[in-house]
Amino acid sequence: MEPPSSASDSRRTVLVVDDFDDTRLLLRTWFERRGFRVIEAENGLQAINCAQTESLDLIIMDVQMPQLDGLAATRQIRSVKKLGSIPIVAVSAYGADQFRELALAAGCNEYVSTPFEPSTLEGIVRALVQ
Amino acid sequence: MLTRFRAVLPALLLLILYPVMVQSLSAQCTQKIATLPAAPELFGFRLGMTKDEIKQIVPAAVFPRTDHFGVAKTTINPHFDPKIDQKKYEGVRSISLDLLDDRLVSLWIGFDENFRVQNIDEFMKLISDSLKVNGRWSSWRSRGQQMRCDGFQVIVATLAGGPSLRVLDMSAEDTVAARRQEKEEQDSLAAAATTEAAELTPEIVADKQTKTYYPNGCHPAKEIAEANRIIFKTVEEAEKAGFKVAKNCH
Repeated sequence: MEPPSSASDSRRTVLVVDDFDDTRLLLRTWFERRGFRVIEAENGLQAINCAQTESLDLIIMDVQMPQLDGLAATRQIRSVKKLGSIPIVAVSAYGADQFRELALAAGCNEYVSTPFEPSTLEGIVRALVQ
Repeated sequence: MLTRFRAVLPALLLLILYPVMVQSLSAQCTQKIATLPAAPELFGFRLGMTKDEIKQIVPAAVFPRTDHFGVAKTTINPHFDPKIDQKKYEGVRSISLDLLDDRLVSLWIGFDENFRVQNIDEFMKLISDSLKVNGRWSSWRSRGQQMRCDGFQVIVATLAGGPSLRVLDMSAEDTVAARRQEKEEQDSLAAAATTEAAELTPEIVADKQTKTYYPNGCHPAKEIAEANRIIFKTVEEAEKAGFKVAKNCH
């Protein structure tokens, strides 16, 4: 994980939560190219901790992770009132038909099934982070 | 005897099948999208409404760009989004709106554990009455119930401890599927054309040792050793690299 940003850092901050290093690296690169500051977490517990200590503009949440999965982490984040408005996008390999409603019911703002087209993620991020 | 039996057989069959036919006909939902009532459970949303009309109901709604197929999805989250009036959406956890060509084609409402009806059978009855859909419910993907009406489908299921409702324009699914297929065919044709073009373009084989190249299908008299073999895409590329055309290829 990264240290907290300095007060002068005006970039939007995204928390990328995924237990796979390569997926985090891929998303980090993608977001950094678009001017985001990126923080990483490897599981749901780390994600909750980051959400409480960092000022986040967006969370990209993998669904299947060890220790605490993405949906359970989302439910916990949503239960904290001050964290309620952070947009959370769930990401997983499950088909959207089966899984989107479940992700939304857990408190995610949107769901993206992998592999996804960059333009899909771009559109969602633009809509959620204004 | 047999002849008499044959004569009455059609009448007998009709007598047996009549109740089944009547029951089957009465199980058909005849409700249409255009005449769906503005049920309180739909919170003012209706299939076919435009993005601007949705914005009038939910000014905070944000729509991403439409995708390749003309689809844009957005969600409204009264549970945790401070920009949404929670009182207006009492008992609702989240609402998902799918638009095709800027028209609402799928509406999903996830109710929470405080919604006045929690039992799925009672919820089905509530929806049947509210939407005036008079057909028979059938199993949907082993986790819910569905009813197909004239041009749309209603699906109810229990999700995350509360009932949920989806109202879906069935023709929109067909449209998206057709567009997806068309794009796949176009992509496939484009890929084939690229491969064909690459195959038609002759490669320029060259010999690093002799610094000569063999254009337009001209072959060296003797096979070039693998270590000395180099391929150029164009004659210009070979010339630029300092290679000369082989004498027997003029």
